[in-house]
Amino acid sequence: MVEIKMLNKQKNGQEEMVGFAVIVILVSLILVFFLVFSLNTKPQTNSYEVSSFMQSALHYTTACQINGNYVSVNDLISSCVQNETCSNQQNSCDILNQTLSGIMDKSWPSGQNFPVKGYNLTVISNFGNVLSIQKGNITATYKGAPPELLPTSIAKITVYVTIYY
Amino acid sequence: MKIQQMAFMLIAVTLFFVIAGLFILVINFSGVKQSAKLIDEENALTLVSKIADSPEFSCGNAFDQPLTSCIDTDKVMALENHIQDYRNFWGISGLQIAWVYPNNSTLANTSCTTGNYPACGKITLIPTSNGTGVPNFVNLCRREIDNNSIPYNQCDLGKVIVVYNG
Repeated sequence: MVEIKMLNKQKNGQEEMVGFAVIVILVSLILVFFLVFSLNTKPQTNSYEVSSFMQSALHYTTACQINGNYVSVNDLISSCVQNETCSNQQNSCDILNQTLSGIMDKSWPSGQNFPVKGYNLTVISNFGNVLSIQKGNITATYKGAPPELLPTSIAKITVYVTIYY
Repeated sequence: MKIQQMAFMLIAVTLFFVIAGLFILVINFSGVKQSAKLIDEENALTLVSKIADSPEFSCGNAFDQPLTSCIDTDKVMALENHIQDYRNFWGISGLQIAWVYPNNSTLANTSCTTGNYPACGKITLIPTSNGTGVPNFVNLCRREIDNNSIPYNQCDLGKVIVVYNG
């Protein structure tokens, strides 16, 4: 009789343990789902600062004169796509490369001792790659701007800027 | 005995739920803090753009086409002497405009005056030594005269640095 009572008590304890284990498993599953959901939300990579930089850089007045006017980076990209030459007989693509390299270098000083570890600027038209400037290391932490579509009639030109931290 | 067992069980389940709840709260609030920081940074950058686009600084239609985040430096130089009238207008404690490109390293730290402009590197409108500085990129435009004495618009790349207490 005493043995049967002991067995019943043990059985009750086992049932409670199983119930507790079920609750733990259920809550753990909910936690795992919650974690997967929160970690999957990608960090915002579009930066207001990089967007402002891109807008301002595109309106910079370059040293290239075409038809008597000093052209902006924006217009120089179009001239480069059309393979035009500046008044001083310099190739528009050479001046574009020189200007944009200088702008990137001064605006985003990069290296191991700087917060910015590297950068990448790419200009692509529907005829192919127009220009690509890359410096430093490509890291997993980066900021960029939405691709800038230039208002030209000659080709579809898009500018991409990414800054790596 | 059974009541005692049930009480232990209830305590264990409650503790478990409290720990799990705390875990979720900590993760959620770390995200909120990060979002708040991002929003603060974006607000500060928007303030810089707002100041750059104010009539006292903006290029307006003076440079062929209307540009956003464009500062007419000729206008700023004219305003420099009257900046005291604007000290409390924007609610900021410091304001500086600096050339980023082209930027001659010898001129970078030279403050602009009516005597040396535009051969200078920065215009300090409201000087300050403390506070949080927020820089943002802008175009710095002015009228120039080329070698053939023909006037043209020169837009450089610069930064507006707004310093505020907070």
